[in-house]
Amino acid sequence: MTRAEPISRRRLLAGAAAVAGVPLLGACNAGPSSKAPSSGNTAAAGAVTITMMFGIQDLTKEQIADFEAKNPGIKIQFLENDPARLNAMLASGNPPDIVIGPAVGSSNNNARGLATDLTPYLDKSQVLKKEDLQPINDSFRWDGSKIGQGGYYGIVKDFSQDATLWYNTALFDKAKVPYLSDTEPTPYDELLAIAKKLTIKDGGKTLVFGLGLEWAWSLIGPMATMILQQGGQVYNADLTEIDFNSPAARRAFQWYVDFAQAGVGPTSLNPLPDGSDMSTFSAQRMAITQDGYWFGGNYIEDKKMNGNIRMAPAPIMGDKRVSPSYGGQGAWIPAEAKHKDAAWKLMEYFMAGPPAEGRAKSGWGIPGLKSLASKLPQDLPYQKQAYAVAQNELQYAAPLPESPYITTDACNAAIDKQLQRAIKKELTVDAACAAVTVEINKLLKQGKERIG
Amino acid sequence: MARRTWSRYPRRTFYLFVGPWVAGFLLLTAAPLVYAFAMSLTNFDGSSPRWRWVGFRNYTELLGDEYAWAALFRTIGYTAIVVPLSVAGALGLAVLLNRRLKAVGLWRTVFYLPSVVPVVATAIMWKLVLNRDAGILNTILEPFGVDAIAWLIDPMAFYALIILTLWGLGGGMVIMLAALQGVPKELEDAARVDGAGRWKAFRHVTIPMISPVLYFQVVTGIIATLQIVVQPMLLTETNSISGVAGVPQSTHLYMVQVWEEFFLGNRFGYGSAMLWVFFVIILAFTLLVQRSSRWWVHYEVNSDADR
Amino acid sequence: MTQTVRRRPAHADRAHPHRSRSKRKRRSAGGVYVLLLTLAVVFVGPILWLLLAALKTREEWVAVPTKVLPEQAQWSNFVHALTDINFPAYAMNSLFLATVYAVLITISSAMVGFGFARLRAPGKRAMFLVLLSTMMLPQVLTLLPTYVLFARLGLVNTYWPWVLWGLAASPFLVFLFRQFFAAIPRELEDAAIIDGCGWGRIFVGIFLPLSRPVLITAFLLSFTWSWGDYIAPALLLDVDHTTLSVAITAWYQDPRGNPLPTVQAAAAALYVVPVMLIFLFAQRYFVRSVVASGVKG
Repeated sequence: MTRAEPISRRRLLAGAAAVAGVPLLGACNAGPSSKAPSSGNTAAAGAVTITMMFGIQDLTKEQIADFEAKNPGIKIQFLENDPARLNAMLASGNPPDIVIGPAVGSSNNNARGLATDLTPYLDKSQVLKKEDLQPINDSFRWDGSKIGQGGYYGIVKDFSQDATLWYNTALFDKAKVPYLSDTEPTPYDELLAIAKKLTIKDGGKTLVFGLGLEWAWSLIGPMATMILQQGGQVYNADLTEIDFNSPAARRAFQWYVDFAQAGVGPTSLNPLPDGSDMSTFSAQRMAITQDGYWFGGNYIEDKKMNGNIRMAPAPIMGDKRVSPSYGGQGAWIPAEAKHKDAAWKLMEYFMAGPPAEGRAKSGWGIPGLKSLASKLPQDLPYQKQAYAVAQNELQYAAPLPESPYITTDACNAAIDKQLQRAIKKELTVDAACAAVTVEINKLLKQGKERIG
Repeated sequence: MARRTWSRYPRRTFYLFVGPWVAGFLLLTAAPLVYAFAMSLTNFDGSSPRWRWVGFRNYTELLGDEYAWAALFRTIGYTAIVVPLSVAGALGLAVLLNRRLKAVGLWRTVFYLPSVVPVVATAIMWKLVLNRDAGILNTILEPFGVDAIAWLIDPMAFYALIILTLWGLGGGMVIMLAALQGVPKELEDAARVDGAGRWKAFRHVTIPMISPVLYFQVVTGIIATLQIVVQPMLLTETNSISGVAGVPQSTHLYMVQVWEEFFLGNRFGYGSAMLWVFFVIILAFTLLVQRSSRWWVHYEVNSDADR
Repeated sequence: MTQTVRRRPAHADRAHPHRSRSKRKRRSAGGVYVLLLTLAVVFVGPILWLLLAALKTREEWVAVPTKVLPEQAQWSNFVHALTDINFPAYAMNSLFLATVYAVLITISSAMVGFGFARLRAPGKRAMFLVLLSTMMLPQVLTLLPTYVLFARLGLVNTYWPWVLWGLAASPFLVFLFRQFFAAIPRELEDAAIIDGCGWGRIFVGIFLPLSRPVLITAFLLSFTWSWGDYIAPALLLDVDHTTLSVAITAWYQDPRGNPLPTVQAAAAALYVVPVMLIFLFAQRYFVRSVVASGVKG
């Protein structure tokens, strides 16, 4: 797929009719096919078409046109981010030229040799410089055995410290619960007690959830954070084994079970209809959501809400403050991409150009570049408060431990399965933790064997 | 009926007629199948070039995979419930609508409509209807003293899935309707004149006449139901691929397990092996039904007679 | 004997008994309508609930206690549904692909089904078993290989795969056609052979006209299938050329990437309309097929 074949309906119909050997499509020619093919203006001689696989909102049509205007030799073909298609494209040896994806968890791809080391590009670039990269970018680094050092296999567009909280002061007032501290972390046990006070039930229904954890998004992230906060270890030294039997892991697991059994928030056993906290939080039906800095950006225009919301530091279990990011969305260039230089141009545009500034100004997470941090919005009172909390929180940032031999999704699935059993009291917490350990270790072993 | 000679059936004609399918089969089915079989003999992860041949190890592992077997038996049980219900339901609806009714087109559309609602809309819709707190179903049940039911988790999720599947039986109804249109009214009338009751006429005239289509519905119903994967996934918290993790135990069907191996575990080799085994199992089921069809399916011409 | 000659008296025959019968049955008709109405509520209820959701705000949508009606109907959801993404263009793509695919596959499946139902040659039984068994192949199994195949052929990001699929016939529809063709009385065939017709003529001149309800059913099913298919377009087409089903599945987001479920609900409602119209139109042709009169006449 060096050059995408322009799709012409007329040609297709003519061909189809010829192949079919019947004039059955004659009548259709007056239909949609009479519209000109939508391939747009023809590319200049020697132009390359790069294929990008991004989320549908990551780059607007106007931004693509702007990029193409500034880089006359480059055309963009847009594919929507779709893991199944990415698999297929990688397997066929024709991957996209640039792909969106999180930094945390990228070691699985990097260990499998799927991504390009971008260090040479970074060394030469006038716009993206190593010194300017926020520490979150270290999750994209891979030295062949662990993250945090070695080459850069991707660049982060933005991130949030995802364990931080947002809460609705109106619901706090109603329940006569004092506001959370802007600087001091709330212990998890206290947080659960607060959540119980904020929860309002009516018969079998829950009118107001005390606390949302975005259960569907990550379990390994928050649990690993809790383990780190207690000074524990998640993986062994060579990342081939996980240990959920440690006291720290069991305490984290126990907290999740307590949370679910208290019925103070959505879980996979009591899901929200749309799978994320936002609409429920917006509907004043959730008092606290564990959602990270970016979440506040949802309410820039919602005056009713943004007068009532505040951000709070990541809660703590144990005595070490750790506030990692569970994702850190960014972009990477596949190892077998055909147009890496052109893809890098798009990387520069996307990470440091107008789209990056636009994102920063909207408060859409903390930019992956230090130089963009000053652009974060501080106009409204709630934005000022959140900015201060987020800036103070940065000192507690730490990379989340990860093993290259397993995907984040697979970890979450294994944990959720046993959590459900423990919540339903089919298993004790100890037995469930043992089962998680066995199951994830099995996957780690399989992964290790594949990667070598 | 006299046995015809081959001159009535020139071989070339048959091959010409089925030619499109043969060509399509070789290119679009057989070739990918060979690839998929090769994949099942590797530890391929779906994307990286680092894979090895592992022989039949995936197949031997499957023999001892208790999750897979549990999912398989669950799937068979689910099929045993859903297929009879949906075939009977589709037939019942078709009979109701195969009469002179006011605005018959509207009625038919009403019952067909659910089967054309796009999957994504179906998902949103049922989660809205079945949600414990905000769902309409619990709101409707409330005045009857029913406490809020958590429809989307065990054990109710199983019934929710059955409801959702049966809701889309309009597609089957259309086929039944077309079949009923093919039954000569005169035959049924003749039976009624001979003194048979309405039910008897239906049972002894209509059913045999449409038995080829009933057979079709049963076979395709079994095949489709065994392979259900999207619906249980969509009824979970997220619609994403990782949503497969949240599928409740009671609706964790075989294909869900396969999906988990493919897209959560990145085990394309093992997943392909699971599918090949499943394919053989479905084949066996179908042959079983086909065996039985000799006793209850009535054909005008015996199209199975020749080989 | 031509088609028209045989068909006319058959229709005339049937008009009368029908009318008199329907008069006699009027007594029980009331019960039937009550039953139908009850069933209709069950079948349409969830869709109505979806439509109501399409008129709500994002907050009303998850409100507890449940809000049946929105405070103020949010018609803007429909406007957003049509304008946030290029809805008409994607609808045209879907319509085009579904039509091409459905027309081709109906014809090719009818041909193959006819072959299996009415013709004979060595290997037929074995071939039919192979055909049946392909129906049982889980789609996931061939998902990745199929992509690799089309990538090798250079057909990714084109509409050609749909043409190829259309020409290749669908096992499901072949099976459907075979079952219908097998039920057509042999006498019709014999008469045509005596008249000196070839099999091509018999197929086009006798069997196809007789099976109009099946043809329409097959078209309807394959059209609906293609219209609703998500996997193939998501795998094979890019953002500008993909179909409505892909577009409405995940593309209604606010600029921050949060889903807009109420807009999506509105889009889903609009998305069903074309299929519903086609069905309303097509169901008129589900008239009693001429097979019946063929037996008597």
